[in-house]
Amino acid sequence: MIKRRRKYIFILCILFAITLVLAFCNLSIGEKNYSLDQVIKTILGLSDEGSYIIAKLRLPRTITAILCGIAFGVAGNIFQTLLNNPLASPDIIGVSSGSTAAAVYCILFLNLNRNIVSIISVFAGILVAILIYRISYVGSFSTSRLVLVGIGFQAFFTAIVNWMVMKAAEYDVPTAMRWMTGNLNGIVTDSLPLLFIVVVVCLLSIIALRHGMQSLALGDQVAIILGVRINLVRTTLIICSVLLIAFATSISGPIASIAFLSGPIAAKVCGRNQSNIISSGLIGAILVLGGDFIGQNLLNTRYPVGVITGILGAPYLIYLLISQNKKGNI
Amino acid sequence: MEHNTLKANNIKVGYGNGNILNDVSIHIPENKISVILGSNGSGKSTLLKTFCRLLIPNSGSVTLNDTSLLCIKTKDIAKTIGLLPQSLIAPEGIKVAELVSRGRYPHRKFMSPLTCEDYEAIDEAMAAMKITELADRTVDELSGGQRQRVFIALALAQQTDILFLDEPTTYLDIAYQIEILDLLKELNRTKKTTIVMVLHDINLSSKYADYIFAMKNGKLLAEGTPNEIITTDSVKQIYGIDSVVIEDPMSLSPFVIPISAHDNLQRS
Repeated sequence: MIKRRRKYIFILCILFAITLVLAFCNLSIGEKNYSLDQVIKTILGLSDEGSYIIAKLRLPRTITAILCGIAFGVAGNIFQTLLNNPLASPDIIGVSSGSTAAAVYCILFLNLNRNIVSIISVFAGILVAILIYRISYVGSFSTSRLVLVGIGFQAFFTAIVNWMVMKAAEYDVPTAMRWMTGNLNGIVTDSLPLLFIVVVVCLLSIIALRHGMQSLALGDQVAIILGVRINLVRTTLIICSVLLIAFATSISGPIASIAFLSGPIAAKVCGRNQSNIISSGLIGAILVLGGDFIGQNLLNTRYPVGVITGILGAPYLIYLLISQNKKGNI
Repeated sequence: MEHNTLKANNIKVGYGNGNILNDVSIHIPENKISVILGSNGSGKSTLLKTFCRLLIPNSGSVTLNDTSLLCIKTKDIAKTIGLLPQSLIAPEGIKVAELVSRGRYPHRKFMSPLTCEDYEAIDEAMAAMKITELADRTVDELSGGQRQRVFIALALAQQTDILFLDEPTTYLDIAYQIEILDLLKELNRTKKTTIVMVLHDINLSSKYADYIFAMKNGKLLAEGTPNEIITTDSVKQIYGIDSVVIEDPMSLSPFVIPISAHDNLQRS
């Protein structure tokens, strides 16, 4: 067991290294390329060369990619672990799309500024999470019912967003589009500190509760027997996850599939013997950085990151639906 | 050796309005193996769940050392009372040793990794259930009997003085049933763990129990040693069947042979 712990830490180091490499790629490669040396000097403020492109454009974009990746990855993994179902990720069961719908409404019809939009979309996310839970709670709690209700909500919110975009004034549509695909263009530095604080606080709370979370994965009865205060632990974990999702969504839009894919990939890479909180966060960051890099540099048109990650997620969703159906879970 | 006294005092327990348990008072015999017998729906599992605070009595109380369970911190109860529930979920792909280590939850300090003490308890639990060599296998690939032993080891790693088991032998063939019950008996004899279980098989109950509680329609019908409880009359009362009770030549405990309507036909 001690060996397995060491192996896990080793894998975490590798994931961290990959994240750093991708971050540097995103900073140095683009329309104009910079050397590693130049990038480091600019970040440290030792050189002014290319400071606008690196410090004002690429750095906020890269940091946002990392923070949002971590937020989506961790939150998705928590949902999947607590509900013991890989389909129960917030971007599949409508929590993210609830935030999106609220944000699009605020942008297109109320013309609110960005920070207020963020806050409203956070509350919308929490509200939708509660709503989905209440509706799927019929006498007793069932994860598959929650997933089905959630997928219904997801379709409903997507339809509403589409409808709003059709009705909206044309010049607002590009802003709203960000909320539909997940996009890192035009990130401004002033939204970053809040996102950073939210990610750090939620991540620390989640890590503090990881043992309780692992016990919950054995079922409520066993968790109670082991002395876990199940309602407290579960509620705190869900609130932290929804905060992560909603804040990240309010900045980058719902980057498709990150929440959904990170947990399972982390489990594949690291095994399922630990809570995989940090590993799924790092995988999330790697997916967003990688997706953005591909979308920006490797294709003949520039695509928003959500399009690339969405393409990654779709086949896995289909695979999951088929295999869950075979097992009779849905 | 510490003595933990667990009692149910006039408990009424039920879901919604109706009570499944009606006015049951039980004092769990310390350091003994007790078995709760009863037909389906007699309230055996409900009783077990109430003792383990999974259900809260509508009236009456469950007390540990004369303090109501409701007044003790749940983590402290978890250091004294353990349970093997009827159905257990093992997360997909988890290794045996990791699953057993989850039983250490009540002993772990906030945020800290597993200590030497934890590792010792885990090794001891796996050794007691004879699964040490399975430590690095995933739980999914094990047989039914092996899995059940892993789950019991999880409860043992919790190092509780009192251990409840809800039908630990269901779905297992006779060889595994004997194996599990022998291991539990050994645990009781070596560590003086108080064991309380629900069993369906009256003869295995008679063979392994020091003490028997017989339940019927949510009430305690009778309690006592197997010799006192398992008689033709009480079998009729508990299960509503006619039977002949003989002596098990190996354990000298009562052995029930149910009488079937076809028994005489076949002889003639």
